Amino acid sequence: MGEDDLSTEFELIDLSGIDLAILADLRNSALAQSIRRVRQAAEDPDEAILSFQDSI
Amino acid sequence: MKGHSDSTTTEWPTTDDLAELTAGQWQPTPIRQFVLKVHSRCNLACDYCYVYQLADQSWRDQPRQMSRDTIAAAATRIAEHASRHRLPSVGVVLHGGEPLLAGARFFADTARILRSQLEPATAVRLTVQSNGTLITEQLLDVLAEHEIFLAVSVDGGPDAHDQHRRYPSGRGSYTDVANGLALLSHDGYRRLFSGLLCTVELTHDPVTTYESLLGFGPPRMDFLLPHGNWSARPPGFPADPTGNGTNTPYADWLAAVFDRWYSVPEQETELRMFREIIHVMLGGTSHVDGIGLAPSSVAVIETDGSLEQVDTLKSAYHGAAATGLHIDHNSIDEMLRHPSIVARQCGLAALCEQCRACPIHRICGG
Repeated sequence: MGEDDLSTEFELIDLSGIDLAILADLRNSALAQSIRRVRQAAEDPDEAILSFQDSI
Repeated sequence: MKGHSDSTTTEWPTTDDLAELTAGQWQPTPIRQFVLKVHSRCNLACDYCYVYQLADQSWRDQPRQMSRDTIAAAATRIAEHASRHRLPSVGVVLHGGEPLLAGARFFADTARILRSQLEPATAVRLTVQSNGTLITEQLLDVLAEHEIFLAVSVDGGPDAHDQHRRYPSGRGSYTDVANGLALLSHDGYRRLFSGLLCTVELTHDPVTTYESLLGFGPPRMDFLLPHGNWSARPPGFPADPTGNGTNTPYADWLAAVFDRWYSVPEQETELRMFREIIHVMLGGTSHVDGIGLAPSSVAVIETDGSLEQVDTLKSAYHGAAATGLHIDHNSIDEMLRHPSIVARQCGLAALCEQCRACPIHRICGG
């Protein structure tokens, strides 16, 4: 895969206008959950706690 | 890369670099997660452990267990910091060594001390990160009473786990860990189960490893990369003289896990690394140290009360995590001005040119 393809693939997605009803049909719920989290974070200014990598 | 903890070191970052990095409107990010090294010893002898087996050997100078006075002092400092920054919540990870060596009563006392200082103004989420060999019903009763969550380190099935995670005698620890997890999965305790951590071992099949961990029914899990640096490369990662990064054994291993995790119609468990990468790719802010460019908001309080950076840095050189600060003499806010803390909080400004030129630097974090 060329460097240009890599840039395009990882371009951050603009969430405005994405219909969550459409996302509910997505096969993988991990993607839908992540989009939901981003929307919630945009509404809640209190950032969630950044976790130490060696604990879960 | 050479380095040492001497305050006169010319290694990056220095106080001059600090002035440049923090020029303008930059403000430090309050610490939101505190890792308390409540016990400095361990009943296992895992051969990849950054506490005992790698460059840093400072554990030898630590008391065995965090004293009640040190816990109280830590609670005071955390409460002071939370109050100053009006933090609605903090996380406290009881870590080690092996924290369960401290005994069940220790956790009851520690929870009372912390909550009496912090709550109700600041909510406290308490978690123990354990090797899982010392889980008993008595312990779980105490954790349940005091709302303390429990996370366990497991490296897959019996063969994979026992390859590295052995007792000093050489005996594998998998059976004891599996028994502990079986107890934790009982109805009355299951809500305490925080998750599993697994260190990647390239010689074991990734999907088999992942499915072995799924067998414990974890609510979440994560894979950790073995520690390495430019001087001591990770296992299975031969030197790449081209510097082009064309050899990617860990990415290949994790990609196989991702395909298995992502392909099911309904997610079986939360996998933190993949969740966070997806989240950052979609425009979000990472919630785990090590992914993305979010400012690090983790501080370590060592067994003797020393304030340190994330102790995974101990793989680099002796004293790599040290700041020279101590809870008896220094506030958490003073720690926020330490050059190395600033470097982990200023995001893009701390990345070298090579990292900034990479198309995925905002996801990786450098």
